[in-house]
Amino acid sequence: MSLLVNAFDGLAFGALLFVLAVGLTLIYGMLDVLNLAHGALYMAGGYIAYLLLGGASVSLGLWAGAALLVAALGVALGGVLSAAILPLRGRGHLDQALLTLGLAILLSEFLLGVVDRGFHTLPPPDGLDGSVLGSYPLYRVAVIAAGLVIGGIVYWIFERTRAGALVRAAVDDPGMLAAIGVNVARVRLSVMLAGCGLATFAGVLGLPLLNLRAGLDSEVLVLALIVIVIGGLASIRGAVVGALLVGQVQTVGVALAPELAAYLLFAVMAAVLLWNPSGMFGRAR
Amino acid sequence: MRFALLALAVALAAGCGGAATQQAADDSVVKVGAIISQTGVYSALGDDMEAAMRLYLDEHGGKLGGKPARLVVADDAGTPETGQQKARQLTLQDQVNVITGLIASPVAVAVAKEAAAQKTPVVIANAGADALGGPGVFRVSYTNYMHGYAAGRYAAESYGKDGAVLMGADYSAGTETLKGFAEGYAKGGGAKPLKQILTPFGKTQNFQPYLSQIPAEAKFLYVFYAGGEAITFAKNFKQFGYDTKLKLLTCQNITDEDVLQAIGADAEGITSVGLYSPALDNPENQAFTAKWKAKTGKNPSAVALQSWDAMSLIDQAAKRGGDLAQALGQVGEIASPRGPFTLDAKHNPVQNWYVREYSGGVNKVIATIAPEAS
Amino acid sequence: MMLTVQNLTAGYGTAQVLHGADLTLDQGRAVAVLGRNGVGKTTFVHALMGLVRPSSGSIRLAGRELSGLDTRRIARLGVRIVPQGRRVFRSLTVAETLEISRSPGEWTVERVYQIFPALAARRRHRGDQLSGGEQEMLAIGRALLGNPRLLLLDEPSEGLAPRLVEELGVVLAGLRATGISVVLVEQNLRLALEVADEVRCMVKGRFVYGAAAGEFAGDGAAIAAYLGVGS
Ligand SMILES: Nc1ncnc2c1ncn2[C@@H]1O[C@H](COP(=O)(O)OP(=O)(O)O)[C@@H](O)[C@H]1O
Ligand SMILES: [Mg+2]
Repeated sequence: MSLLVNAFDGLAFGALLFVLAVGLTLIYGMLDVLNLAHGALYMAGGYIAYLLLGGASVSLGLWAGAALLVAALGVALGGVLSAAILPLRGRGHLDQALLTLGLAILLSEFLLGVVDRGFHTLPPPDGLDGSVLGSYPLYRVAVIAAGLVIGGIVYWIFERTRAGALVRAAVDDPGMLAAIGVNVARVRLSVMLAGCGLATFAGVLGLPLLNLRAGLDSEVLVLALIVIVIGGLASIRGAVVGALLVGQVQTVGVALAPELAAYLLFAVMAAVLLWNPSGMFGRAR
Repeated sequence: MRFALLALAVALAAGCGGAATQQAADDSVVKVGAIISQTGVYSALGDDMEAAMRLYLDEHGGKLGGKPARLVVADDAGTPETGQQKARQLTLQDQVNVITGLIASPVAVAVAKEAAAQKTPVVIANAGADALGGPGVFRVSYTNYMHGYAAGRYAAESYGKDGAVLMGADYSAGTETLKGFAEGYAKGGGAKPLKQILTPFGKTQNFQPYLSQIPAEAKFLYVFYAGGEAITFAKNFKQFGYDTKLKLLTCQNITDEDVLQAIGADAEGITSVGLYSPALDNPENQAFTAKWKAKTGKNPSAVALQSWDAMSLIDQAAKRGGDLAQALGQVGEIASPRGPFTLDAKHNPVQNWYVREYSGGVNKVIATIAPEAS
Repeated sequence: MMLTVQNLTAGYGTAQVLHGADLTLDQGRAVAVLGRNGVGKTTFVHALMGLVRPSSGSIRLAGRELSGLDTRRIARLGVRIVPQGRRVFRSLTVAETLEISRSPGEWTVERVYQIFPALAARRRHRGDQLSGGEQEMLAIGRALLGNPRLLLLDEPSEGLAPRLVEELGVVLAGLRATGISVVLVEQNLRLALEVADEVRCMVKGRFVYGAAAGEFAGDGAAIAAYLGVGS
């Protein structure tokens, strides 16, 4: 029974991680840019929502409105990031990653300067602050639901629409995509913008779960990186499975072997990489 | 890659800029070097620390021991290497008479070593590592062991003699506090705790899997968490309904001022053992809390109180005159907002501990744990 | 003149591959580009498509300069390529590939399915689940749906079973009736002669021989010299 609760709880964290990591994996897969600002975008989402809502408990409508606004701001930040990376195209992974890291530090220090370096959280919106079945927080159920909906939408767009086909084609062979007359840069930009919007949105979604504080950006970035290393680059399915696996390792895994908690995640990552160096759903690149 | 190196060089240059010029020793002023985390994970505590020290000086006409005082603040960024470097700078370049501050224990260990080499006394305003000490090291906060020990004695008396489960972050402060608890609990006649649950330090974002380890026969839980983990723990404990199943006793950090706002309503009713409460009824505390509130609008945190007392100890010692390191050990009883305390042979405080229940926005004192008669 | 290439040079880094290639092609005509492995045939068609940047020389399509334009612009001007190795989008289904390749014009998805019934049967299959022959059909369909004025084909018969090469010959020969201009890089002489009006042979990044297809077919010495024995 208690393990079932652990497993369910793992779903909640997995859902949150998925929303964060799916953008990171697509951006890396498509633009070949390891966006180390992804954690800072998550953090920005949380802090902006905190500034908008003032840390008080608010109605679900207001909360959702703030989340959408924050996602839109994330899209705008994605635009800034793209513009900043543009001059470094073709300069290699390290230069680009370093640039995103620098921007990430600027962004997170700016946020800490605007708010403060202390701890902050936001309670769940009204109506989602209770618990179900006696003692399971309702908000976590809502996070799972949100993860399912967002995952469903992302999957549908990616696998079932023309836009999604363009994105996949740009991962498969950008040169040939250009050769049939498609503006590959625009496809890439849309992925960058959407990924950044999802990252800031995840920051709002995770607000009642993970405290706002200095260092939050790198903490979630590491988790998202582990998700895409496990799942494989540029794969939606990889992001889903990787996020769920990380979620379960951190709940069920920890409950089964608490004394190994600090190493479990890295052990699982190493095991997956030994089995397939490109991750579970990755392709050799 | 060349660009990266350049950027790195610029960053390093910016960080180390402004080399201080050598200053001559000057006996007419008391120079206090405060090593404080102004950046890094502990920077929120650092803000309180610096504010309290400046408040003390402002309230005492900028003087310590009757002489004009100067506070030189250096940022340790939360790392021992930086702390040690700043200690060297403060002693050699700024020629401070005493070093204080020190939030994290690893930083305090490195700084104490450096200060001992430079023959400069150290007054620790926060770091709790049990092993920290030395002839020139004085502590106005507490040791982790004593923090847990006091809670253990109280639990044996009020929570029952068996059924204890301990939980805490897996690093020195956590394990030392829990060890102190277990021994204090045994001293009070309590049975060996049923279980000790350690969680990876600084990495735990979800305590649900650990809370589910608590055995069904548990009667109460004693926990040690600080900072962000304290917030997450307090919220998880309540959200998963453990507050209705299990009595909880915590370290003082879980309901300290730096985290209370973030915990919000879930902090209501938490019982903790700590060395201070803003609600303590004594003249020193009334004056202190009034001044602090006027300046910050908040209740003073434990770190604020300790930092105030660090300045107070230096003030008393400077008043005695002579060698400051020696004087620091001879001050005797200090009238503190926490109640009077003295330093023992190892320069650690002998003090009251308070059982506090958080309700209506303040930690109300519900019991006092006096020092053990030795 | 549909296509006029003059003194084209291109390469990779410091290695120059094309050393001044010249070629002209009338509208509705097909030219076969022949030559041994590694002479620069692929580099030549890639340069036409903008997949390799020419370092000098000019490429004019119906009078419009292509040299220096990026691949997408060149594609928009009516050039399509069926690349060597097919390069089908491996995670896209046949239907999806054709869908994103569509442009207004005579070629429609339905018409592609008509000339390649095998593709119609596999429309829900991903690119990496197709056989080599099916991938070739998909690559050709993808190019035709751009309704190009100029079609570049780079060794379409490579790796195909003889029966499939024959089918391919029928389809490509049929294209000539549509008025499209074709540059066909081939090692398979029979297919090249079946499809092309003219033949150009490349040696070390230059065209050194040109003739009408029928003429070349009878020139045993040229065949031996430019294609190697036994072709
Ligand atoms: N991407 C590349 N980078 C470097 N050299 C290449 C590349 N592609 C081809 N080459 C070289 O350029 C020369 C011409 O190659 P290619 O145009 O593919 O010849 P062909 O198609 O006639 O076989 C060869 O020597 C080949 O090794
Ligand atoms: Mg070739």
